[in-house]
Amino acid sequence: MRRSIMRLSMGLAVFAALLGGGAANAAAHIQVAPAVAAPNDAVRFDVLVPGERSDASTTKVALKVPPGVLPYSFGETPGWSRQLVLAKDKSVAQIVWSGRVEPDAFVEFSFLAATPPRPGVIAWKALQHYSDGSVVRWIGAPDSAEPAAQTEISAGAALQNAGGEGPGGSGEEAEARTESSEGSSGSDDRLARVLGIAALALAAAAGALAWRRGRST
Amino acid sequence: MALAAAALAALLLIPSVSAHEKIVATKPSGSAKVGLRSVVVSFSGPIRGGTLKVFNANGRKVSKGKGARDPRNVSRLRAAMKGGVGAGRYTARVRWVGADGHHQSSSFRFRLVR
Repeated sequence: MRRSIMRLSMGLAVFAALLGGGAANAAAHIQVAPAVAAPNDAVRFDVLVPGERSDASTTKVALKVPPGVLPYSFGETPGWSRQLVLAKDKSVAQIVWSGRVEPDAFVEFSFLAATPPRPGVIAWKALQHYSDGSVVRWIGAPDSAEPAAQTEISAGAALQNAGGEGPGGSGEEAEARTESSEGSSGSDDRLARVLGIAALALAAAAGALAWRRGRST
Repeated sequence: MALAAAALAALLLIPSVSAHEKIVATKPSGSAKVGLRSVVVSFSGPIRGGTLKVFNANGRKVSKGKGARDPRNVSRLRAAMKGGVGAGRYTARVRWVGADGHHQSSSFRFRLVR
């Protein structure tokens, strides 16, 4: 028991370190997590925007979506509205959030997106607008004064599968996979069915337990 | 405790909300004139990719290659037709992977008329 608690707290410490690692040295920068993601995956991206001035509030954040990234679902941030700017090919070129955050506060946005099919580094250029009309352009290199956040698309990265659909893949892979097994969503359905049956069994067991307990007291 | 487990189990049974991209339009739809240059399928949202192939009544492929996402629209699949395709009934088979990674397939039929 004690060992498992120790292991848990160690795990939490590692997790906290991972979370805080980027923040510690760049407290005022717009950050985009994760720093590493797999290609052709559905990933939840989190955009952290700290207010970095004491005399003005952040009122607008415009994030440029790197080529090959396909956002398809957006988290709602209370008090903020969202606008999508589409590229010529109708993909999302920019996400613009408008609202207001106090000078000593930060605001967080999130969205789900397909990562590019090929490994490489993608940069998240962002413009941060303040209530006094000034704009900070987070578009520089990593070692610049106003760096753009980066995500490394690496084939070795664990799949996040934020879409909840099992291993993703490009359209090309889709064909190879579906040609051998009839019905593209077959495995998904099977998994869902197994989970459903397991949940039912669990519910029945729990119900029986509750009923027995209720009778014995 | 047991009730909590039951509640949790009940939650697991609720189907997940999906953002799956569906087909919203096909071109052609119904019928088109002989000499059709390409077939286009439009989806409700962006797709990572997919294939689009057209077959005649004998099962012979009458579209070029495997088809692919339209370079001009990330929510579309496009396939060019081969030359000299005559009047008749055709079946288009579509497979796609949505932005969320969901694999789906479908098909639709159309006629070519003179």
